[in-house]
Amino acid sequence: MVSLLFVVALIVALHTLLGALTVPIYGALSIDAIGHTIVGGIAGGFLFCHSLYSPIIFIGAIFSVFAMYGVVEFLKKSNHISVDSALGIAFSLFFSLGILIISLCARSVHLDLDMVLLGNIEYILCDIVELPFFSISVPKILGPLSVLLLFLLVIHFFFHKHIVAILFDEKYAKIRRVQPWILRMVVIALNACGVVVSLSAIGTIAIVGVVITPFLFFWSSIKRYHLFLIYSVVMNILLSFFGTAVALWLNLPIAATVALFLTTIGFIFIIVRIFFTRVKLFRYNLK
Amino acid sequence: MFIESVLLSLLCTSLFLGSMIGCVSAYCVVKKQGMLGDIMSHASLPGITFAFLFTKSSSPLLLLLGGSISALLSGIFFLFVKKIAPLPKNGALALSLSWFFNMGIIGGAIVQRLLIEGQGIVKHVFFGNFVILAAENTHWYMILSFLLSIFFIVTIKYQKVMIFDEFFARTRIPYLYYFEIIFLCLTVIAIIIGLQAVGILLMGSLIITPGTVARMITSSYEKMVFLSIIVSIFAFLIGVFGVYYFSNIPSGPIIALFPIILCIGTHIFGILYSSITGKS
Amino acid sequence: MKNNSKGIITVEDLSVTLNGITIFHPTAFSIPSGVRCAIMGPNGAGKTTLLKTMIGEIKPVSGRTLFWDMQILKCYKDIAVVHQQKDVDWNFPITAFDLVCMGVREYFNGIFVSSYVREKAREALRIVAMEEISEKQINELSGGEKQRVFIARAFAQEPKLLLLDEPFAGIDVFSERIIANYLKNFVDDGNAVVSVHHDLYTACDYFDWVIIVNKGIRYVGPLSEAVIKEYFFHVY
Repeated sequence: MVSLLFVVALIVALHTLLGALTVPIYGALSIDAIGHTIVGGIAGGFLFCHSLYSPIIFIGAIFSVFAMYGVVEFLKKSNHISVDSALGIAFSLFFSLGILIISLCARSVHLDLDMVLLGNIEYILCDIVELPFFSISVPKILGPLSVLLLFLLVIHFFFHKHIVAILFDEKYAKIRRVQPWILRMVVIALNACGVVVSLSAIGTIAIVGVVITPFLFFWSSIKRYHLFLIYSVVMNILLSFFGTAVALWLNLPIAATVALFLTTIGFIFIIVRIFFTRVKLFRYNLK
Repeated sequence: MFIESVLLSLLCTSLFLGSMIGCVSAYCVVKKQGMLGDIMSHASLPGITFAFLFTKSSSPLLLLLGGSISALLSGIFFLFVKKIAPLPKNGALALSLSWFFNMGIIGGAIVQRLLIEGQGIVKHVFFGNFVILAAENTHWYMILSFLLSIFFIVTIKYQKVMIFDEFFARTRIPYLYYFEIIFLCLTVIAIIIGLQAVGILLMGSLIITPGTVARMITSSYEKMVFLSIIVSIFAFLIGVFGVYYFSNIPSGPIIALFPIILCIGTHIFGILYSSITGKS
Repeated sequence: MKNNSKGIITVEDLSVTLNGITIFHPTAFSIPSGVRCAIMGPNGAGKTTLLKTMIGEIKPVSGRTLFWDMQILKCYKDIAVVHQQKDVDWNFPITAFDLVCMGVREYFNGIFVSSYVREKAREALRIVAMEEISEKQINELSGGEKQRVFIARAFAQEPKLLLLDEPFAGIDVFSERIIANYLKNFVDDGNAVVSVHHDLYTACDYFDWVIIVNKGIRYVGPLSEAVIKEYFFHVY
């Protein structure tokens, strides 16, 4: 139970912090797009190495995400294609190619698309490794998750001002020679890594739920971006613990239940906030 | 002989289905609601799974009715959230997608756990299975698609006013609100019928791409609808032949890939054309 | 000291084409220091296009823009730009004060915001009379207040050249007066202002130099001369 909660907390913290970077730049649906695109990358990687455990699969997934954004940038050049349409076309391209490759070339291999899209957190708890000096067993997924989370925290800490400048007013950041393209590349790479690493545990649609919830609570109500990050992570982790408890109690898939719980609470919060603001009982204000 | 009759049935269905999807695609693309189509197709999952759970019937019509209700609810939910919540880009769409699809996953898990007979049909909706369309009720799909297409074509001038200038439209069309609801319902019906062939995961791309291709070629809304219908029909026809020759591939990716490749090809052609001639 | 023998801004053979349409044929002009220059013209004339080309946001087909006889990359720190805020997310968690801090040259040095940066930001906010409401989240401000904050951000940079895109659009009279007064004081120190402006009636009060644009540069020079020779009448 402790290891389950720890894994859930790490995954939620990672994607909350990633989402705080991704959503203002690329929009909330980009994570769903990345998840679908990775199917194409995994299938393409499998074509090269014919093994599900090769690092080429991982590289293929990352590469496909970059390629997807390349296609989006290419399509955006047309005046008649909106950003949303370009995203929809790009991820559908890679997803369709992935399904075709899997159907034609990988039928005998257990490349379970349900796992890619839906995840199974219960399964990854069985995939453990023993730590050499501490003689305790931990889920294998903790290693890459911790590394990514640490990297993200370092970026948020050391480049906080640059991030705020780019997220709020990219044009101005360019004028000040802050180079938004570097942040964009980093965000794409981190998102690709984050989704690939946590794919076996939590599907991409559940990640979307985790990412969007803090915006329901705090967007336009908080004065400072670093406070937004702290409140989002704390609140998401606490709510996800409740969601996990509900999932275990009702014997439901954990990832989907946690995401559903988070988004439901977020939606209820919005309704309550509007109701109370309208009747002027209190003004929701974290200032 | 049987295979030929199935093929003929699928070809006829493709014609009508393609024309309906083409109309809806043109409308959604110009209204900049292409991604809403994608969300609504994902959101049909809980309706399908819970309809199966409550009725224990694998009748496609019942499942599709359930899917339609949840897809329509997701569209209304999106419009409501967009109005009340200050969210960043696509936030309302993401919320709608996440809530409904995760609900569908939970429904699917419950269905699997209860080991109800005939639950395999629920899996087909992920990537589509054209053969299901040929199995039964084909004539209903054809009639519905035909009526929908005619309705879309007849109301083109209303669509133009509604999409271009909503404020002006409210002053000229007395029941504009009801028109919008009707178009939303028709979009849902088109998505639900189409997703049997294309699947919930790729139906969104079929709502976006034919209209986008048409928009890149013409600036006239009428011509755009016509071109979108042509592209969509071809996509379905290619899907039919793809499934006929490669029976182990789900029909969804085959149908979805043609308009995507056409879209990218048209864009490349446009760039080459403007660089050679200097005109846009 | 920068060598501005030709002028603070020198445009050489600038030609701009957008979507296959030529906005400007090869054109050359210069803007001296110590002036408040308005870029004016009817709708769709290319006013914002000219400004964006000068700062490098749009690549010209030919020609170049020099600032103090240098390319913009060498002197960007002395140039402050206030563009139209169409793409800004007003719900972003940032206060007016933090926004103005961003404008100070030393802002991106170090991990934390230094007290020197904060002091400079406060000074800039004082100039635009926004110091008391600087702790409000950006979305809580009115249209005029938002514009003043963005201009305060530009002031905080202590530039020698201000480039503004319709700074007076959609703001209240009080905000307009504050901004106009500051621009007048700004050029008195030998600096310059170039601004896209749409209102003929207030142009004479706020500016003393004009670039008249209508599918090409029609006039560059003192505003009083343009009025006397009725250039506006011909162009509009």
